Amino acid sequence: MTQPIADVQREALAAIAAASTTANLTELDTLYLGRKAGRLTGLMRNLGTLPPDEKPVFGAALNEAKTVIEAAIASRNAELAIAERDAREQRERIDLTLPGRTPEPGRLHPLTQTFDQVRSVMLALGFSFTESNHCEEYLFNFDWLNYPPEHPALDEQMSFVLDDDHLMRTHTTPTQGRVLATGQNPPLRYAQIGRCFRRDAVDDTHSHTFHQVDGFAVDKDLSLADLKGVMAEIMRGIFGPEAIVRFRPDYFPFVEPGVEIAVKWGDRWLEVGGAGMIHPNILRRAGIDPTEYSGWAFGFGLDRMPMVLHGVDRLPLFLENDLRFLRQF
Amino acid sequence: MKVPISWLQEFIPVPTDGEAFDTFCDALTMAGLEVEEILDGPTLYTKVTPNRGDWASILGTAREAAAINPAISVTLPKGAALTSGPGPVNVTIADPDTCPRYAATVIRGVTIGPAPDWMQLRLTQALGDKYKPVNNVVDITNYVMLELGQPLHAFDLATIQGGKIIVRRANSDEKLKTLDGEERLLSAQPLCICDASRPVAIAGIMGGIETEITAGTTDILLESAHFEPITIRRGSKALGLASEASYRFERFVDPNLVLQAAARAAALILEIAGGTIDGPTTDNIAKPHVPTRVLARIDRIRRILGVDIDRDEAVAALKRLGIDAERSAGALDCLVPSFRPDITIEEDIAEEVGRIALGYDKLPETVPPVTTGRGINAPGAVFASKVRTILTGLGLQDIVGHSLTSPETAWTQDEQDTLVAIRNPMAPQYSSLRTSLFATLLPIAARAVDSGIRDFGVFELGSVYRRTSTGEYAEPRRVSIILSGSLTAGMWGIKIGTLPVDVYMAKGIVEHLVLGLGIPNVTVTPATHVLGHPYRTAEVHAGNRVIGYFGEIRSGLVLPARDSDTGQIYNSAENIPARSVFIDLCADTLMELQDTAGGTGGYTPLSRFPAMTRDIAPVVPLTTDFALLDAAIRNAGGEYLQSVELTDLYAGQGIPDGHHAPTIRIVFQAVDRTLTSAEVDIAMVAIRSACEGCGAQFR
Repeated sequence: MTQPIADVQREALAAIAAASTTANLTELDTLYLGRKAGRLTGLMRNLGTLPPDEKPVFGAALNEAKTVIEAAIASRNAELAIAERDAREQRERIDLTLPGRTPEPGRLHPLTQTFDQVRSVMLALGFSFTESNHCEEYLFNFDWLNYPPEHPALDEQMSFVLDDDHLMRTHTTPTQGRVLATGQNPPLRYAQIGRCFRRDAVDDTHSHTFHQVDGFAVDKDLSLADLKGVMAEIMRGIFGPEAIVRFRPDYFPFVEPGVEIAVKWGDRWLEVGGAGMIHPNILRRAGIDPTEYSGWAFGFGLDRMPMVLHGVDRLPLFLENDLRFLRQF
Repeated sequence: MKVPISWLQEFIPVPTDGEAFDTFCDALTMAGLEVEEILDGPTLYTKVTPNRGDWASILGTAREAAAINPAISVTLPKGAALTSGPGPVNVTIADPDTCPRYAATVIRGVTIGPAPDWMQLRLTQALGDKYKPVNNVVDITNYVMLELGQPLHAFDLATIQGGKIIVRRANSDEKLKTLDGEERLLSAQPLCICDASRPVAIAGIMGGIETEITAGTTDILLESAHFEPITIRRGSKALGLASEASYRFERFVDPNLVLQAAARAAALILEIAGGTIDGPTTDNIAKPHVPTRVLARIDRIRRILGVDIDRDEAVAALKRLGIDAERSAGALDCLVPSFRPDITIEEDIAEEVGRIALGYDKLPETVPPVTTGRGINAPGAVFASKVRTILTGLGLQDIVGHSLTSPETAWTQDEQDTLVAIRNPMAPQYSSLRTSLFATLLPIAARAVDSGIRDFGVFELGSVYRRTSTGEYAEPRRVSIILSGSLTAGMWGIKIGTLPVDVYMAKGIVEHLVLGLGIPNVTVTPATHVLGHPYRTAEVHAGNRVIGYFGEIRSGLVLPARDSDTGQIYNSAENIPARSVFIDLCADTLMELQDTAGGTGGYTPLSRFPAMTRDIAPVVPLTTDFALLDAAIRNAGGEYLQSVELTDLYAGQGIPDGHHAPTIRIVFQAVDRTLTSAEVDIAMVAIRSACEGCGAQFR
């Protein structure tokens, strides 16, 4: 009685096993299980002709066969779908060596990057930043900084003159006078990053326009050793943890003792700037008692740093702003 | 200062083998007298700091080396035995403050000829190209100057009238032909050496040609004097005349060298040129040198240096430096030698102790506590950083351009009126300060084009400079931008020029910038700008404040500038690609208007319910501004209108002349429920009607 069902199931399972594509399986699904002309569905119609006692047995057999065939189709379909996806993906292979494709990104100028780096290191050391004009008064560029009138030290600072009282600032050190003249009480810890100008011919390592950072602190009992410690922190923040700071005596009218700062980076000593203990004349001028307070100050150039760090051999490249250059940073 | 080793070796032992020699040089450098280079000879090239004029001599160099190394002592060269007293030449000093001391020595019967080869060699090593052999006597005066640091001068005694020397200021009508052959009017009244009737030399700077030593000279007057530094510096500046002598006098020459140098020169003259010393040296000490005393507390020295200093080592180091330091109740009573005018205060003694007794390499590193609270960045820097973040995020390259430019770049009347000029420029292309950031951006853009980069966006946030009518200097900051070519350039597969930059991109950048800065109520109106296409340029307002301009760069502009290398005038707008666009904003106003609180704007709650989107494409006359349509739609859209966005703008086939068809995407959404189509349809009827009210038609 259920023999035809078993026959159809056997035949169906054989066909399913032999199917080679998911499209075949869809056809087989229709052939055996199709609602209208499916072979198994066709047998279902026989159900009505059977004696009532055989109906449950035949019905159960039909359902079982349907379940078996459906499961076989699903299982085979899963196998074939994976194989077909694999085949399709293989055909979809692309040339990964073709160039990437984005619009040109915006980049920060290497000097901006240097300024940002120095600034973040110094903010972490408690320096607050100020800004002041490039067109500066002699008063702050020299007088406040203890430059004796008509001293040969002025010869080292060949300046661009604007009028009898103004010049293009030759360093960022006017920060000291600018802050001290406001009459703030110690402790003080200030800095400025900015542009400076000297009447210096342009060559591979010099320019009439350059950038500096100046910082100073006034507090009780600040010493030259403290200055060295802070400079070392700053330089390690810029040049990495292996950087070593060296002091050498040097002369600047606004500090006493005065030192030149050099940093050992790799196997080279780089002279980066000047520093020292703030001259008592400056503290006195600011109304700060130099017997009670002391201070230190430092300044260093910011143009040579990216030169050294990136191995750039020509300083003027930074302000020439050739896009072929800037797009490398 | 160039210090030939062989010469230095006459004063101190100098190691010659490689390693010991390097150590010797390093020790000098680390103690403050930097050996910058080793020149042929070998010769040390040292850096004389402005406070240490004493280093501008072989003696000074030797003394420094001996102070560093206790094992070294200085041997002084032999001098002739000079006696002081009324000599054959009378010396009068008008103002002892300008010339504290003047010694005149007479030597008779010399034979003038060339200086010996060994001396010429040393002078060549020490002076390089500046050495011009003159004769034995003149070369000897230069030799002794380099050796001891005391400039000397020799006169032909026969030319000195009245047998007297008067040190006085020149009268303003007096003239002198100096050794360089120039006839100089002494109107600035420099200090001069005069005989009975006229100036014969400019004190401390240069001698006169009429009294110089010539081949026929037999009797000489040897001058060794001390001049006050500022007097010499002013004279040198006023005359525009500097010399090896003035260089040293400006830096203070040891007053106690006067006789020592005269004796040394006399000995060399007698040895090389023959002759005999006639009588005593007239040594007029008009103002005796008073040695400086500095009381330096040991405790203070320790606090300045931040390290414990051994008192005995400090005293020993100071003694080696020639500073007579005596202990006096916790302090050192220091008598400063006459060759160290730079030492005047306690801090100076601390420096000497630090660099000689301790050595800065042994200075510890201590990090003092921060007693000032956290570091606070400058508001201008915080703002600049925000602007740079936004603009680089939009694909623009940050530029840092020159401030110095040429006055030709002041392209507007206002810029010309407020131009800041440099009084002493180096070159015409760097003779004024920029009045516009385009003075630097245009050449940078042109340079990019020259190098083959035609597609770019560059911006600078920087200062321009103004001088107001009251003479004040102002440095307003601006944000200026140039966009050229296409932003899709470099994206292969996309046809070049598919998305050329245009004014709307400029506007988009402005919108993102003000949005990022939290500046509300920004609108634009048509305007003019020196760079701008007259019908494609906008003025940007925030409320009633003008914050800047953007637009298309006009073709055929002539914006003169000077080439940074050659200084030649050229048109900086010439090579800017057509249809490039610019943005020119006032950074100071943006900074003032920005939302620094960073949270006052609130936010729009997000709906959990689906949005309904409708597109319309009304046909509108070209003369109808989009803003009008946009406002009408927003006005009519009802409470669920979420956004109105232009997605396309079409003109051409199917659209009547003088019209175009914007495609506008309108989104509706409710925060509390899913909207029905019927509700949206009602809103769309109102929107269409509003569009028609603006002259729009629907196809």
